[in-house]
Amino acid sequence: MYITGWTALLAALGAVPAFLLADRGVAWLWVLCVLALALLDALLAPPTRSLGVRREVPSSVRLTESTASTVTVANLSGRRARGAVRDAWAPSAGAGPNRHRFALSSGEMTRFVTPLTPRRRGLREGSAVTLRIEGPLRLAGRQKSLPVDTVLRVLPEFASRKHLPARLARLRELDGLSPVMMRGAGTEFDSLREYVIGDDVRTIDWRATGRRADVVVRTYRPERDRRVFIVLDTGRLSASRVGGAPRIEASMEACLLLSALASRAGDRVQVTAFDRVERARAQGPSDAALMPVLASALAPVEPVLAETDWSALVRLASERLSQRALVVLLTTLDESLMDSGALQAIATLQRHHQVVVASVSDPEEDAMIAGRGSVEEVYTAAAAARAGLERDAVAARIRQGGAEVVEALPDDLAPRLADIYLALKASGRL
Amino acid sequence: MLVVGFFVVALVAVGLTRSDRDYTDLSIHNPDANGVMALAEVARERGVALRQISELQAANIGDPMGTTLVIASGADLFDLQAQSILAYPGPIVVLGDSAALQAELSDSFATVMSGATTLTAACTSRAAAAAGSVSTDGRAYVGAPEDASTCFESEGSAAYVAVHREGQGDVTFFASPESLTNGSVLDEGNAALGLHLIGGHDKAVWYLGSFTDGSFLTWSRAGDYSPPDVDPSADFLPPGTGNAFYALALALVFVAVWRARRFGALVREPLPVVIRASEATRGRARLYRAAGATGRAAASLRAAAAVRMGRRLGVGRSSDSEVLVNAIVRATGRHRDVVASLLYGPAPQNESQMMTLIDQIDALESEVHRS
Repeated sequence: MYITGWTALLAALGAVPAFLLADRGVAWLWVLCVLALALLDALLAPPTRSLGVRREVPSSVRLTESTASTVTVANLSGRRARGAVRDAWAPSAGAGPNRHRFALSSGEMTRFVTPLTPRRRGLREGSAVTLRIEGPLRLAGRQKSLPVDTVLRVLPEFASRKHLPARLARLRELDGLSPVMMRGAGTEFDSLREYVIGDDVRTIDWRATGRRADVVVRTYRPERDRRVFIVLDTGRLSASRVGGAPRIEASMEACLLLSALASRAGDRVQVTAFDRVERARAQGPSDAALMPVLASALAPVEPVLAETDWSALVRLASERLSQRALVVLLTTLDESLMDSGALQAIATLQRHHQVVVASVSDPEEDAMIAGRGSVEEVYTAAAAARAGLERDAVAARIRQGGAEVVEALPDDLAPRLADIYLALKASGRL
Repeated sequence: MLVVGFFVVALVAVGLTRSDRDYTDLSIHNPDANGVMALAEVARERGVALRQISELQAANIGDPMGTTLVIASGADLFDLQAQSILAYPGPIVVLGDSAALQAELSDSFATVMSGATTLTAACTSRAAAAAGSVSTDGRAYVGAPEDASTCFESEGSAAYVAVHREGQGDVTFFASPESLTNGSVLDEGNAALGLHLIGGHDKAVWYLGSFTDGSFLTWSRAGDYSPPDVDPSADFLPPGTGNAFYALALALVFVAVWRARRFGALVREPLPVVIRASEATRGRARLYRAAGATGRAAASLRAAAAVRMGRRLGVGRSSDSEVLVNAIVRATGRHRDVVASLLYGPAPQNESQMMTLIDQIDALESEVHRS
């Protein structure tokens, strides 16, 4: 039950008879009458179960894009029903005006649209839908919250997709599909074609030339159908904030860009989000199938406040990978990698695969290193410099084994990682 | 519910703390030495219906000829109030000093301090004769009206003045109300005098007001129109105003219930972690500072500067320090020993040395980067 402002106003009107008759008893009598009227009104209101409520949202939406939740209210009773419905969402779902008034005659149905512009990635659960039905006097009514299970999956923004066209063009150059002066690089034999001026004379296939009147060259292209295994570290270090968002967001962007690029290049991409156990997994043979699956799988992944289990990760990789692959570890370069078994794990993986360690660096640290304003700032600069040296040492240890290390600011990590992938592909190291 | 509960608690609290005792001077409900409860209780036992009022308008006497009006606090009365009191046809007893009342009767009628504290009756007044002698606090009247009878005289002043009014009750003045308090009522004949003063009729009204009371005495003869009891606090607003506000206060409860009832529950928001990545570095900086680790801090900054300069000059990280120093000397033209002591010299002993060292290294680095 609830009461409306009219009840309060009616109760306030009791001041008039109390003034005229100069009697407190009148005031009490008035208030009791108003109370009785309100109770009666609430009793006369149609029961909440006589209304049917349904809420529908699209199953997923990309972060920064807008969608809408649709609430359908149907009057199943034989009476006219008047009231309001509240379509409650968590604040980060970015719901617009979510209270809708309705007046439905018997059997009528109406739809309300609540605009949603989510502000964070993840699963945004819709809270209960609350119904209010007014009594005939509009003084009071019945209220009930109906648990309506609705989940809106907010996918990662994939802002780094703006870097994709440039990387795809570079990929086509590697493939030899684009007309460039340099012939497609790579080691895998592709086809024979006529010599054009500018071709490397070392690629002339003399046997084929002998059979024909023209000079024929062999063309190569980068290897296809390579395995790319991307590990998104969701351990404790991925939770800390860099710039405005947790590290994992930048890692996820890099993961999405690399997956899109590698699947277009014809490689087989597997993605796993891992800390102590696997949190999410996606794999697809082709780009068109992979990207929606991947975005959907990564959407609910959140950092876990636990140390990553590196030996378990090695076991997982050996289960999933039957042949040489590119293993990309989207983790955090930190001194703690020294004694958490990460270095051994990377060395083990590097024995059979090509490992790339990608880490989001902190833009604040550059400002800290440059600080000279006071003794405190100098100490801070020293601490930042020490952290940087320690990270350099870890990176050097990783590089010793032949693995690649890429460290970049949140916005740069995705394109840098994509460039490293292209470079590895061009040099045939996949 | 909460609001209703609050009201109930408040009412109970008021009910518990309110009683008919008070601690005001000369109050008939005051059992302490400065009250007159003893006298009032004895008078009640003798069949006198005594009630105390704090505002003249609350007197509302319906039987003036059978009701004694006692003015126990006459000092704060205004002239018009004094006139309304003297217009009262029944017997009036004035205790203590009351300039306004005295001035209405005679211009010279005033209160003085006389030295005497025990006075003996030397007059025919029934009350004074019954008392015989009284003890006073030394106050007495002078310049009483010509036709008044005086008693308990000493040195030209009198503690007791009775003004006879034809067809109306007498106006009796007694200078020392302290004589009637619980503390001194047993002295001399104080009790007898007090009982005679207030017990002259079946009923008595004890006025104990203050300067905040601006109202006039209300009374009526039998058969006269008697105004209804009115709320005495709202004397300058229409009589229903207080009740109207009371009704509005009740309506406030409805407003509270209307606003407090939520349209569905609050929605929980799972928030992400807000720890900054640089938090650990800042913590380490505070540790350096707390420990005064100038050596370690300077070593870190030196090493970082060496790495940056080495990168600029194409000297690998794994190279010997000699190689780097030589490269810097070539790039900047500085003396070799200076460069070597800046980068690999002794650790600074205090913060000022550290700051100087850092400044010099920064200068060196800027030269390297310019070259």
